[in-house]
Amino acid sequence: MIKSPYKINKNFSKLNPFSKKNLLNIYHKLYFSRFVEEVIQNEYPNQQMKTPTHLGIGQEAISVGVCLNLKKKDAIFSHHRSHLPYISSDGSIYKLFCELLGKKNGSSGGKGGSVHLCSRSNGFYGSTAILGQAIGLAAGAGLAFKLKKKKNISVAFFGNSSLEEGLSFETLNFCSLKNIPTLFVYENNFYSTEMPNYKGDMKNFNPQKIVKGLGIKYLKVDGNNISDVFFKSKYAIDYIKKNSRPVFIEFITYRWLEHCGPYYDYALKRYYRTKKEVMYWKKFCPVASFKKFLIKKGFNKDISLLEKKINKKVNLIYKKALKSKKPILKDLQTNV
Amino acid sequence: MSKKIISYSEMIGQAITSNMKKNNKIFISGLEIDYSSKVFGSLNKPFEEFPSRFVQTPAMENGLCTILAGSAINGMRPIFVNNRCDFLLLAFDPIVNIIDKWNYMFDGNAGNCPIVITAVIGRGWGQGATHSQSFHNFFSRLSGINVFLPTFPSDVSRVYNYALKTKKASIILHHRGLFKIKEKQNFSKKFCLSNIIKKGKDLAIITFSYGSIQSLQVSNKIEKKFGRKITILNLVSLNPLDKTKILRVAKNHKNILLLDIDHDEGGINDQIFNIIKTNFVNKIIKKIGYKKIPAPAAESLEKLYYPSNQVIYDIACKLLQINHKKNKIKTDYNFVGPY
Ligand SMILES: Cc1ncc(C[n+]2csc(CCOP(=O)(O)OP(=O)(O)O)c2C)c(N)n1
Repeated sequence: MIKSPYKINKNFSKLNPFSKKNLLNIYHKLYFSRFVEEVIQNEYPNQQMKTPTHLGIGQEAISVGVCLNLKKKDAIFSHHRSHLPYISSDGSIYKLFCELLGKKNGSSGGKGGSVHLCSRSNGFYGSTAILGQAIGLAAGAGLAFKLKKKKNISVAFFGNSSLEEGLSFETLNFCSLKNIPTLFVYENNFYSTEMPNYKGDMKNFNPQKIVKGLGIKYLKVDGNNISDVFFKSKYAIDYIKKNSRPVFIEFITYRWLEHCGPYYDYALKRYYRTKKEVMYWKKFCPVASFKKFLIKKGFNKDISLLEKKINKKVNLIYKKALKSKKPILKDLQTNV
Repeated sequence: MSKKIISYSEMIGQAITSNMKKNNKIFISGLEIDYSSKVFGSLNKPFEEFPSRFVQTPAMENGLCTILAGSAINGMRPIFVNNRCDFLLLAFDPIVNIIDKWNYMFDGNAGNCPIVITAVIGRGWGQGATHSQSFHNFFSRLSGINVFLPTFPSDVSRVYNYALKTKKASIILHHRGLFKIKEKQNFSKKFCLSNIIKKGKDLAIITFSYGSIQSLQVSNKIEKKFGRKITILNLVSLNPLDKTKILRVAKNHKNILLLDIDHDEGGINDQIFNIIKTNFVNKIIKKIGYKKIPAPAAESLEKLYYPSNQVIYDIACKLLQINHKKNKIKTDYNFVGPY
């Protein structure tokens, strides 16, 4: 069974100086991400969202914590597990639902599907479905910032399979060599599809040594602890801006649901991991643990109000998306 | 000969397994190949029998294809399995610059590179622009690689038996709509580049892969409704192309319909069109293929992008000068996602 190297009892004390408003804002982002994904999870079996969909439930703290430190003009790229970075960069939920439902108002006009989201005005440049591309593209956006003498940074969200592709090594080497202002966000959820990294494709793969060996700063962070994610990525982003050097962060986290689709693996009788293991990791829930911290601070009422509001809003948006128009023949040929 | 009914996906497994039994140089490599779904069930049998001859790898299509080419040059017979044709793009360098040309570049002195590359064409259910492409039109422009697109279990059996024995490298592309196709296992074992799967004098359809399935559905309906008989030439191989058979079919038919499962422009349809037209100027030829745009994800657009049975039916009827007026025919593509 895969265990976390971090403690379950999360320490959020670094967030103590934050105002109530700020703390609730962080919780808002976490809960919002979770709830949106849950709506998709619950609706997906109805076969209205006909596009392969990779849900990020369990991994929310990473994109929320990283994106809180980004500026609107920074550039984000993501791999196929794209919803969370898209939501955290304030991409429209209506457009997300529409995209999944194959509607014209989708973030890609319904042409892209779950894996091809974008929200340029929010800095979410795009997600792609071919492994490794997000890494290369983010580096390219970083190069552009540098050539344009802009102070912005670029960010790539990806998992271990992307890291395995040759493109990733070439890109990291390039970024180190050319001082590219890029943050590499490696979401280590221990699996690529059904292969556990520790005994499979990454048995001898030590990202820390590889990244450091290329001369790039490497950090390892508890990706289920919003406080750690927030402060470490803040540190990394400050470092990138100050030194014009790339930084690579390995976030430890866990994907609760199946690789692609809305179900738990154990419910579908897939045996590459046990129900026990999933249950163990659910105790590390990045949303619930932070909520506990806020409740201890006496924010119960604010939280339940906030949750109710989000539930209502998101459900309404989904209903609206269901009613929105499908693209038609004339849309097929646009933007070729 | 066995009368057992076998599915396309089982046939892949059976063909690979029986060849593995005979030749211990054959091994299987790729990513995600020993996972529970085993490439739509096609690798269940070989994995049961020869788990140690599976080389499961990280995500490394570019490197892996080069590595496997190296193993082929050194006497092995790798089968490089890909869950999507799109992932092969990462391996275009070894495919084009090594595998295709190895024998020729060294004038035969550096040996052969008999690798078999398989990939799934992932049409439908919102697979979108980068998980549904097929590069048969590109691959068949190469000189040193066979390009096979088997339609039926019988094609699968013959293609694998051939590809795993020949000295040349082969690319075998499996359309995702075919994995559940069933057939009685009493077919001939003799390899052929193409076969006539239906005979008729009124019209000829030249097509392959999922196009052959659609053509069968359409011709059956036309035959039932109007008594008109259609020939379907199922091209199992696009490289080499069975020019002799194509010309023989063309000679016997005034009306010919070409159906590709990729962008129509500049592909195999145009090539066949030219072959026929240079020999028989007066033939009436219609071409059907996808519009020259990437595949959209939305279902409403997918329906417009992929030629439906209705589109094929209407064009066939026009060629046959049947005025069918609003006769409807359903497209029977029943894959349920997500992957
Ligand atoms: C070039 C390429 N090869 C294979 C795939 C198929 N594929 C899609 S996701 C995936 C595994 C991804 O695992 P990981 O990188 O750990 O990210 P996670 O899904 O865990 O978030 C694979 C093999 C692909 N999309 N692109």
